Amino acid sequence: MPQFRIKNGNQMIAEGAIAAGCRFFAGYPITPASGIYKSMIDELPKRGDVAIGAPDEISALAFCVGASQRGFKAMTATSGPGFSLMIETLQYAVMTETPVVIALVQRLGPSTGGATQGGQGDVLLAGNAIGGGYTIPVFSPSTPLEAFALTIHSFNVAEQLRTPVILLTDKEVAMTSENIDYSALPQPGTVVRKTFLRRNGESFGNYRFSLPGEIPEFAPIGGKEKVTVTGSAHDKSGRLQKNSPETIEVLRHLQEKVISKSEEIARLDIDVVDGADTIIFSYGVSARTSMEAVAQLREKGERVSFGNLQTLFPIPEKEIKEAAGKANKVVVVEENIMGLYRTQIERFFPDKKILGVNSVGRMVAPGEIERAVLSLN
Amino acid sequence: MGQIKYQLPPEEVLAPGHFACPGCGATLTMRYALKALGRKTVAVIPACCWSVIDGPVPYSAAGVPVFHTAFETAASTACGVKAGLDAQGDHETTVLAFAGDGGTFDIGLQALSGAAERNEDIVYICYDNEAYMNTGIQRSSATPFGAWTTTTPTESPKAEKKKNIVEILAAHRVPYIATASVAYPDDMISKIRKAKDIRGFKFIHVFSPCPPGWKFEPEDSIKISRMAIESKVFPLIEIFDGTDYRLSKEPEGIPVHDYIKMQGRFRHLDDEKIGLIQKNVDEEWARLCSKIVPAMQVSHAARDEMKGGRKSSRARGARGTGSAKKKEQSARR
Repeated sequence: MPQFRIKNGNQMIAEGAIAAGCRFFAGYPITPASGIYKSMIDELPKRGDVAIGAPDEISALAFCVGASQRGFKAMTATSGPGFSLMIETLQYAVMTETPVVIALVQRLGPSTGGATQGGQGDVLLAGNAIGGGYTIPVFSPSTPLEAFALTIHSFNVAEQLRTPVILLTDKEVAMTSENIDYSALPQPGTVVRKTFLRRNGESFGNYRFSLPGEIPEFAPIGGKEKVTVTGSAHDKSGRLQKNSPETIEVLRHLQEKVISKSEEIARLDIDVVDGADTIIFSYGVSARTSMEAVAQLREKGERVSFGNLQTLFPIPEKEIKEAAGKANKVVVVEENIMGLYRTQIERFFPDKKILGVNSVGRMVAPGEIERAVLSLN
Repeated sequence: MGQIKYQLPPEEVLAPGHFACPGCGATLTMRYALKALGRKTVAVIPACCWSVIDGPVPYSAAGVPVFHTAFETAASTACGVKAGLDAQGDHETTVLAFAGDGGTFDIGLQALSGAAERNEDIVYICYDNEAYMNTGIQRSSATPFGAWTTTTPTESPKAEKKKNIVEILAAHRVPYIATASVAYPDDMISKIRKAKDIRGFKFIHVFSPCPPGWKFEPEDSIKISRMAIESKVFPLIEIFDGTDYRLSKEPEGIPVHDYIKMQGRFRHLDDEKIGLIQKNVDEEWARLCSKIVPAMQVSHAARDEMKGGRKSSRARGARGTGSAKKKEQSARR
């Protein structure tokens, strides 16, 4: 029997985090992400877990990194201006291989932009926030229900790969309440990072791996093993070294461990029509309006496929190419001026017609998408 | 203070038609600040209620140029503007950093401390409404013990005491610090004028009630402000050079209970908790007095106006604002 409750994306991110085993949250007020902070403050302490208000966003993420290095699953939530302040610590989390989830609720930017105005302008900032071009996984839900499932997935990927993960949503998905059927809530399994167990004669190294793509085993700082956590270039034990072969191996590994799992961690919602000549790709709130446009186009007899890109980074190249198949027109819908994600995927389709449908300061309307698709005929 | 005699400058630099809530202390603070500083002022405002209150295009209520800046940068941006003015030979324009408690006590503290340590010649006014109100009432380090906010819910209200920002600034030994209240506009204006005339870093901490955030009726803003002073929750003081403490107004010493009971944000508190707040207020008051009294005993030419003793300190605040004295103050540094 369906059990409906009215929830918004922010609330479902908080519930997803708790379902994923998140036991530590640090937040700093910022619209439109404050709802996650509020929900975690309401829920975590009841369970004997920790939710705290940080004095700024730098501290919020650093709190989480500290907690994660003690073995806690940790999350923070912010929007564009706060995310900008977090980038140093985000890079630190990459370098120290710290599992942590950042819920980034986009609003109109750049800078202060519009606190109560939606936007999807932080896509490439999230995907390219790391100096050196290292990839961090970025997942993007388009409904509160997807937000729940992808939050759990974000934690699982963070733990599995010992990496920060960004859950990229936007004001409309985060703050619009909808009926959620709790009886149909997905129940994905949860993943916990592999911890170090002392074997005969083996010493601990915080960043030790043997095979490419292998994830170093974790030991909490202040526990039995001597743990060195460092954002400086280091060898597999965490000793500071700038350009030894082992340090270079560690630096390569930071990228390889994520890229080698691209297909495994990719989540996409693909709705392909046989013989489609057009495919629409979108994500977040723009995926919602795209779905409406797809329904209207199909009613008019158009053969249109649709790809809801719940995974933005690592770019799910194989899945995107497969979904497009023989369609000769690719339409990418997003709420930013420059068609940011389109610039990332158009190189996959040198022989197809590519069109971006974009808006800024407002949502894309289904009618605009419809007209754009028809204009390509 | 007894009978209130308003001597406000007549010019309204802040125009009506702003976007504030009724009874907003931050808006009264800006109104008085601009009366005191005049139109030759640049206001630097970080993320806070005032980044909204000034109004959207095509409106700007402030009547002076407004530099909306990032949350953590009010003091630094103000220093940059001041340096630019100085470099161009404009030493007259006042640079006003105008920030809430979040942008002052929390995220802006680093920039504030840097500006204070360098003794930058700016006026920094913090309108303290004791939480992040613009984002929906989240606790800040200015939220008092026991208060409800959305992130310190009634089941676990704020367990920590309010950060003493004035003591932090005093430790920087800046030329001038004052506390002020919207309940005493003439006192506030005289302090801000004094700040304008003193060279170096000036910090004004304003008690700024927030009806939606504190849960009281807008018409009670001034009453609550007055009760905060009379109950010693928020003493009106001045500090010169970080060491010379002066009391602007002798509080009547009404029970903290009366102040607490006016506000919904404290509704969940029982008598025991209110007793703890009273105890803390008493202790803080005793600490403050221990700093004020020795200053009273020091004989100094610059303090001639203090001869009337503590009771008449209010009158000193009203009279003792001549620029000669200010120059002496800055010369002492």
